[in-house]
Amino acid sequence: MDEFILALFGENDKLRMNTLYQILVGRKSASMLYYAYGHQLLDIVGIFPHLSKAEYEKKIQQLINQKALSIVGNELVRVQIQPFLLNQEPYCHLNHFRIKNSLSLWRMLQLFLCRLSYWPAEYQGPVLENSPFYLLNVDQMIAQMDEEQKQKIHEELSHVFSQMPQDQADFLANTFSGKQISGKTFYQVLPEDLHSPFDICYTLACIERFWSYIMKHTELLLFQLFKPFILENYKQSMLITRKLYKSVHDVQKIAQLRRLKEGTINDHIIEWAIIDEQFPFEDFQLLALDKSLLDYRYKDLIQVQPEISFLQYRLTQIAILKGRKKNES
Amino acid sequence: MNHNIQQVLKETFGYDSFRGLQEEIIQTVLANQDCLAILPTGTGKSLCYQLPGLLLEGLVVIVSPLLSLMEDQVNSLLQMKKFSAVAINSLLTKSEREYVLTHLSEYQYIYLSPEMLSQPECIQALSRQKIALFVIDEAHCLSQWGIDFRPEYRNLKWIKRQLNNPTTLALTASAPPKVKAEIKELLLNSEAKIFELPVNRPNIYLQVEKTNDKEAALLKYLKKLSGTGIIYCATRSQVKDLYERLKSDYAIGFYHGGLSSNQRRLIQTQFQKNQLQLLVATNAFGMGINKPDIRFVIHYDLPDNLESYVQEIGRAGRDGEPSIAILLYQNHDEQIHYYMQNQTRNEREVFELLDVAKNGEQKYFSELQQKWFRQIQREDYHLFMEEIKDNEKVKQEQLQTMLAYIHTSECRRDFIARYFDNSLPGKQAICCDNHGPFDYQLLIKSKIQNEKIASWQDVLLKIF
Repeated sequence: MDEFILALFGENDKLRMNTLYQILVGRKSASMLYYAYGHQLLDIVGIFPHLSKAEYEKKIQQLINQKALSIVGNELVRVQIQPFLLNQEPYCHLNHFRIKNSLSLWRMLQLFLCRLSYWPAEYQGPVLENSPFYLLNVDQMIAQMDEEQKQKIHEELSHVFSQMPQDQADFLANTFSGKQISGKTFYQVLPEDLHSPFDICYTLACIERFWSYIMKHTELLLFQLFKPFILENYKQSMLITRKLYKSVHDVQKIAQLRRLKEGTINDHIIEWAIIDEQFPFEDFQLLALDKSLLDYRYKDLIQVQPEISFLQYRLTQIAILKGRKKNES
Repeated sequence: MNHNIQQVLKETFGYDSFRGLQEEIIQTVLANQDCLAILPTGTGKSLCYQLPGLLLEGLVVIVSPLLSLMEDQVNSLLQMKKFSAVAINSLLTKSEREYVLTHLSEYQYIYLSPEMLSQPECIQALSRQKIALFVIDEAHCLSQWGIDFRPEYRNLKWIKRQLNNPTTLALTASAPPKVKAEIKELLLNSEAKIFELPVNRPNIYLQVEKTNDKEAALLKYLKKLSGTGIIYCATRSQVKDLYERLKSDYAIGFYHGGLSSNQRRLIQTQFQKNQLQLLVATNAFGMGINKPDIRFVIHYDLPDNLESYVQEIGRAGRDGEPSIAILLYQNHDEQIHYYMQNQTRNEREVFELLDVAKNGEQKYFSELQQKWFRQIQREDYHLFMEEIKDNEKVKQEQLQTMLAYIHTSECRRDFIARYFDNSLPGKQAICCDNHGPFDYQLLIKSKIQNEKIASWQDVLLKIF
């Protein structure tokens, strides 16, 4: 965890200690998401949902003792520099915020392929899963198979793997079981000397690279089969707000209709703005896209211009960051 | 009925005849009589409820102590493709659990932990069904974990009443007299029958190695051993450390409760198919495993009681072929258990100091104290605390017994038989280190090579 934390700083010299913890465990709020987005950490939101605060603080303390970090106020200031994790292979393919259930999707794929390997003969393989979620859904997938589709799945998997570096594709494929092969656990096929938590990051990065590709190619049969489970990542309150916004165009009215606080609806809009490249910034009265706004705190800003709403302020900041990203790419 | 059970045995389970006391136990259960069956590992305990489950009307509810054991049992039933079984546990999502509880009648065998079974929605859903048989698997856990760590085990008596007092079968591989009495008192009616086979396993040689360097001793043994084996460790981190140490030289896997269920299943499948020579594991592995040709079980850390030790070594040599159980002991190995016992005692003392009976629940309760607090809502506070104190003494005694087993110069088989109140087994060809060395040539030779990682192209060819 020590090196891992250092590798999250990237171009930032400082990271807020509490917010970084919230990012790692995925305790979602609009301000955390904005912070994660602004610090290029959105793709690892929720990557360690079980990390305890005590464990995190212990690691931070170790880094401070090693003089790799210092704390100023509530911010971690890096002393030692590590290359940014999310610029490196395969970690640059982490997409955990958008595919939170990537491991669960992978388990379903493992079960599906194992069953398909025997199909159309009776299944004689191991019982890889025993919960109704996997069993009933894979039963349904198998029920709609025919020879042509089985062949198509083989071709599609070959195609997706061929788009990946050989070692990452080998890593993933070796976890499949079938008629003539017993699947390996992740830890048996990870590259040597990959210690915690890089082992988990490596596994998730490869899996999320796979699913990101599938999600970009909706014509694939694999996408069609797994679509209901992929979409589970998006079945959120935010999506309902987004849908309502497209017809109502009024935050106050949406709050009334949904019987939610206006602040909650604001949070939804901010999340939407962060994750959607098509977000209609033009609908909102943005402030001037002046980069200095990124350094302003809202409470300081309204001392001078009390008429500015928090939503305007935050959406303008996001628009500035998005513009900056576009320029960089 | 007799003809019928023979037929079911043959047609459904594929066996020609019953083993040990299976038939008597099944007849007792079918006659709706409670019973306690103490059968050593490998004598087919599961069949004693699986077969009656097909002949009796209603559900078979099995209380099981470990997630991994539940999974193993469910998987082995599903593997046979003739049964519908499900485990209701924390691995199911809320909606999956709701689905199962509203579709109970679609299943024949329901596995639950005592904690899950104590939840009102489970009791309610099950009480609406006809329960053909109530099974407490690994019933010695009632005593081992019952009072302090898993007080929910004590609720089973009450739950049994809620489920309209179904016929109850308590199963275990080993239970000394005190545990036997406790199981009978807490779970079974007064006319319950007890069936018991001695714990002695004549084909397993018993070895204790006192050493100052356990790793070196382990490596020395591994060079001499052949066939597949399990190395038990006390902690997950020890499991991982040994795995890292051995992985370049052996076809090896590790297994502990921290792995996800499908990762555990993959490792188990590899072990079952003899693709692994060694499995390093915590005690999460093995209760439900049905691999006949495990040739050796090595304990790298000291178990805290002889019951667990006998259970764990019983996984070797189910096929009746010569096998060996090796316990590596280094001075002060027992310290970890003293530490754990002290921890529990401290928690109990704080709990008492807080006078919770008067002051109610406190914000800073530990997980264990919260469990105790929930339990004293159901039973008398003072009696409950007295039992926890008694249990602390029992645990100290159990650890002393384990240490006495290590240091004994008498026959280790006799020592075990005496502890379990079995008759002494008499002189045997394969015995223990106090009766001459083990002949390693007896172990069936096999060499399992470390498999290389295949290319994705090859994997897909093998799948399609």
